[in-house]
Amino acid sequence: MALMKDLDYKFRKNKISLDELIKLRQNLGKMTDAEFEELLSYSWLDEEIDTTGVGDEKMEKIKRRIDTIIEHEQRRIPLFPRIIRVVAAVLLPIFIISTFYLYRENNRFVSEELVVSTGKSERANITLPDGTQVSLNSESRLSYIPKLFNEEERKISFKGEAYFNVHKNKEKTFIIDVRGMQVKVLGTKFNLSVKELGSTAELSLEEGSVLLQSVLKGKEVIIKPSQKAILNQQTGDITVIDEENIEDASAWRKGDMVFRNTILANVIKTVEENYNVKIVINCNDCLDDQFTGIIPNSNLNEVLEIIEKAYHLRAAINGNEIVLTAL
Amino acid sequence: MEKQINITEKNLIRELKNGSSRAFDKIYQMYSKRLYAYSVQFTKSSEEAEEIIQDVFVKLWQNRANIRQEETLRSLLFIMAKHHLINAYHSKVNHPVYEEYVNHLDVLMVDNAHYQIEYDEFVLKFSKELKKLPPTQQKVITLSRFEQLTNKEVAEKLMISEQTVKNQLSIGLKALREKLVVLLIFLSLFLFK
Repeated sequence: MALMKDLDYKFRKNKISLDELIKLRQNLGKMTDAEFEELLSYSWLDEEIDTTGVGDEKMEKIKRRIDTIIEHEQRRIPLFPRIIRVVAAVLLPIFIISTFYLYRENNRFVSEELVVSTGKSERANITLPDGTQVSLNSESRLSYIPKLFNEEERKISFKGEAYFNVHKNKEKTFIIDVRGMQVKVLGTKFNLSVKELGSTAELSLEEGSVLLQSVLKGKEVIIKPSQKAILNQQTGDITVIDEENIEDASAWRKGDMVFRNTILANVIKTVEENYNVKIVINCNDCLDDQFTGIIPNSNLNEVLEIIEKAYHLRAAINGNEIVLTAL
Repeated sequence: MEKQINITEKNLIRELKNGSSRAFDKIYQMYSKRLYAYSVQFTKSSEEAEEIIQDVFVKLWQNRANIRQEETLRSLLFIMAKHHLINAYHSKVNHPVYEEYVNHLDVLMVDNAHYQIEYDEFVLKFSKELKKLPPTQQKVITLSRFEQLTNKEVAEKLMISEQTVKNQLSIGLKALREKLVVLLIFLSLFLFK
């Protein structure tokens, strides 16, 4: 049992070796359900579980989904029924009048179109009624009609560039109307770029699957993760290519790091934090040197090249560290 | 302090049984993160863990009238989550692709969880590299590792000999594993989270 506890712990913490995994499999086969449950319950009840990595937004998002599901059954049970019954007679007429007024105001709003747009160096992050998150880049515009949005399909109009994290809903297709094509998704993550001046539109898919329909050609194309679809707006043709680094398309979300007269030691520290790596520099006194420049936020190779060239160093990987030595 | 916490929990249970959505919200606030972090240890996937949280709390609300007052919140949540967790556990421990993942982590010898690739991502990269292999190797690996067919079943399905299946598996997996080690050792060092 002690062995099983150890194997189970290693498995859950992703510290298990191949041999141990096989042993775990065998032991699992020999245990009864009750024994296994008992083992698990100990870890749930007593173990220290680290929740620091769990985001509040994620939990809130899940809670919203939960609330939506149970909303239909939720009945708010009054705590003091008698008092409420008496008061109701008086409040009712007032309540009905104000509801009617609000309904009229609300209705007007709800049939209208909601527009979110960004200017030249603006960015915006919005959440649509279904929980879909959209990160808009500059000079982009997204619009939809709230009343129609949650009906049979979720439809929005879009131009510019944005990163979409579409909330999964198999019942309701998410449709994006852009110049020249329609994008249909069920739940997925991708970057979409449809700029006015360009003659192409590009969709870079990270997760999930997306169906693109060319308006001009009536052609339909389905793409998978790590693929990029390019629409030629003039001919209506859609080309699909495989993209090694599909996340580069949405690197604009992160932005670059700008330094002005910052000592190299601090620049290195920022790079370490941003890329989650350890960097060691062997040089005489270059760490005190003042650095002015722009360091990319999503390309470590480029960063190393910049530092190599500026300080006549050469980078090499040593275990989990990057070591820069003077040439 | 402990006694106070227990009293709060008992009150919450009583209120929940009476249909208080405020108590429900509070319970969610107290336990959802812990349940999530725990579930991920089983599912190795954040999406699956999210579904478990959703199911457990919806069930908790729907069955609130049947909760026994003597129960503690912790054990209650465990009872509601356990069959999801056990299923996820079995499906990972027994899955050939998960075995590839463990083997892969072994080979890389990267102990720091920060630099480890997550299972979800491993499966994606594995599938992606798989598509680059020659067709027979691809089919054999897919049937054997993803659909978990025996060598005999794979041979029958593809109408080749069992020996060929074994050879193709061996060659294909070796090539895949080497490719992944090179690919992912680079990625895992420079992964920013």
